[in-house]
Amino acid sequence: MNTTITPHSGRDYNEMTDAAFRAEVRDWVQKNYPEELRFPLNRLHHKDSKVWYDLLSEKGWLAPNWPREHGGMGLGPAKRVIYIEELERHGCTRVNDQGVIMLGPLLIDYGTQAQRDYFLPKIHTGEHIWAQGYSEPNAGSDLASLRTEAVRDGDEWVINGQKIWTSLGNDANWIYLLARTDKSAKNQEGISFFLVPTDTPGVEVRPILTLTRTDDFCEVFFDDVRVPLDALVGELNSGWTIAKALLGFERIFVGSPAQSSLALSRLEDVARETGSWEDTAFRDRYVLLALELADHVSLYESFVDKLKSGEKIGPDVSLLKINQTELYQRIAMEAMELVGDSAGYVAPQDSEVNTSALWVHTLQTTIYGGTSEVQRGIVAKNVLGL
Amino acid sequence: MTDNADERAQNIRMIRDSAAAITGSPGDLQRIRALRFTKPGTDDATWQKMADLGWIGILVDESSDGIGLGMSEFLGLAEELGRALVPEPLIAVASIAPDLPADLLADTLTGALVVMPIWQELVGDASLSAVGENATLTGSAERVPSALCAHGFVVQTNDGSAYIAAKDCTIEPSDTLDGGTYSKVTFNAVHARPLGDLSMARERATLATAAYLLGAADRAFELTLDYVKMRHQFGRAIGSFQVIQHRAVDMKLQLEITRAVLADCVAKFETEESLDARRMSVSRAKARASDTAMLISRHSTQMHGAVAITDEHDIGLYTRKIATLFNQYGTASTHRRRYDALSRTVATMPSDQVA
Repeated sequence: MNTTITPHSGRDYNEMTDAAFRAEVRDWVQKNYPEELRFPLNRLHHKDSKVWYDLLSEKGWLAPNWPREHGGMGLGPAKRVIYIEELERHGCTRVNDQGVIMLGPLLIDYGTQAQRDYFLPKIHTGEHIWAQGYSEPNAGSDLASLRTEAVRDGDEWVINGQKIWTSLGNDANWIYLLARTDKSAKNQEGISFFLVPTDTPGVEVRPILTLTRTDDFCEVFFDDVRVPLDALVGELNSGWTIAKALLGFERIFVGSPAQSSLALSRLEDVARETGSWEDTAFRDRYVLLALELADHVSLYESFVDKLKSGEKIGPDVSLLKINQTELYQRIAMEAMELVGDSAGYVAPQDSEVNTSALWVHTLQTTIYGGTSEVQRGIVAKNVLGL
Repeated sequence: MTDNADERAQNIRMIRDSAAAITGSPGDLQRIRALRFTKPGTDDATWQKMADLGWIGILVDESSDGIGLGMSEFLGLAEELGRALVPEPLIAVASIAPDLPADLLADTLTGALVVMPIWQELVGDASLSAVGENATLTGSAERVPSALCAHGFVVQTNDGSAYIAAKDCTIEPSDTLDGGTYSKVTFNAVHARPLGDLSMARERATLATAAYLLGAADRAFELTLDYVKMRHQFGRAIGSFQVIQHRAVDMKLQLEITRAVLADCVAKFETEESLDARRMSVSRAKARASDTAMLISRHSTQMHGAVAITDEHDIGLYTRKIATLFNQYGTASTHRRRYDALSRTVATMPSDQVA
């Protein structure tokens, strides 16, 4: 496989006007995005979304957030927002992007030159597909209490422990993870950041079936897994700090209205199918939800405007995630009631909309990426000073 | 931001700062407290000051002796008035001022004439007796706010709007929860001067009332946040309890949504060409602000505990005002239904906002 970075025609997109850039992205996405992959409800496995990954990679548009010298688009904040808005608008699937979103920027900021040279091109080509090893059975919301351990033994690190809720872990051939390297230090201070190939002896990836009976998440076990010293990224015991430094720009998009917009249009479909669309009691509830969504768009846009003007996103961005995901659930709940007994079907019998799958999907959103309760805790502490 | 947007932002900051001339130092509610349950319940000197500051003509063109600012600036001012619970009817009067005929406008801008709009449906046949100069009107209106300080009313008749003099009317006030009044205004064959279409004035007043509610709710939340940090029970500040923290975050969330919605809606109100699209923005803003204000009021009271239900504590002034005002110019449900009805005739969101 070709592992050299092809700098995509050397273009500096930041020289374009926002409107011209938007038009170019929109046009290209419309012409090239596979029609059958538009607006997927669940995250797709890599085998299903790979075609899109490869298209983006060939175009040089896989990594809008990376600097151009590393093969990224090097977009400024306003253009990055436009890029994401246009892909979202067309209903493009998320690719298996842990390498692009998380690991690449982290290596660019904290990795060695050798690590950058080795890993970044392989993310570009899709040769390496990454998974994230943060959560553990007893370290979910309280991530800093993680127990997976890495002990130095000569020229190697020996890793033991267990990770869980690893999204699409069975697609990945590499995993980045947080492991404890100093048990005597305070929780956050004794943690380091490692890179491990999943085919290393002692690594076992086991899929977890979710309520939709799909293997969206995995458990990953580490049993005396030996990796070289340069599997460590950044300073020893600085893993928490560097992992946290990344949780910036992308956090806003967890609060994007896209999920709720899609759900509301599904609710309308269901209401028309069930003859409830003109029912006044339903209309009252529908308009309440439609306005919640319109109002969420206003809130979201106010954050996006800040982002575009180069402002840093603060801890109040958690409000977006709370509001979007809880609204998404409310909309799905309304659809569930409308369809009556049909809510019990795994697959819809006489409807275009799989209401129960929508409902089940909404349930994970208030849990992943920091539960609604954790988000409220963050705002209470860091915004309200409580 | 463009220069124009910068200039707008600066205007809004200036007008907000100028509000201190009326509202006094933050948290000083002495004047507000003293005016409650008095008649007329408003203060002439304060009204004069508002006129001198140009506020009554905030939306009136400079060529007509106003200060010619826009709705965004007006909403900024209204929000400050809400924070300080100012009882003078600036929102109503400033909203109709741009639509008044020159003679009435001139006296309105000096502060000499207070013209209160009566948007309430009239009781009686609500028709003018004749066309033109000699028209009279007979009927009554209920729940008219601030009628006691008005010199004239603009009423909505079946034949369009009309001006009637307050001295020709019988005014019967009743106390409202906030210490102001609603009056029954009765007019028996009084001279009625036909005016133009004032329906957009009501939209402006509705939007500004949403901003006033946001200001009041925002301030009530600040008081509450201070209180839960200061109040100790079980040996610790009650704000350290998770149930209080999460509830406070829910309040903050609704306030931030409302702030974003108002900014968005006032921008659309100023730029949308379709009148229905502008009305939709008004309804969206008012529905959100009314719901938010009541939520904040309810939780603020609960978090303060027993002191919140005393007349002495300032949080109660906010409870009173919000309960009196949140349904004015239409309840949240009314506005949601209007939004729904209008949305069927208007292409609402630009396609790039819909997934």
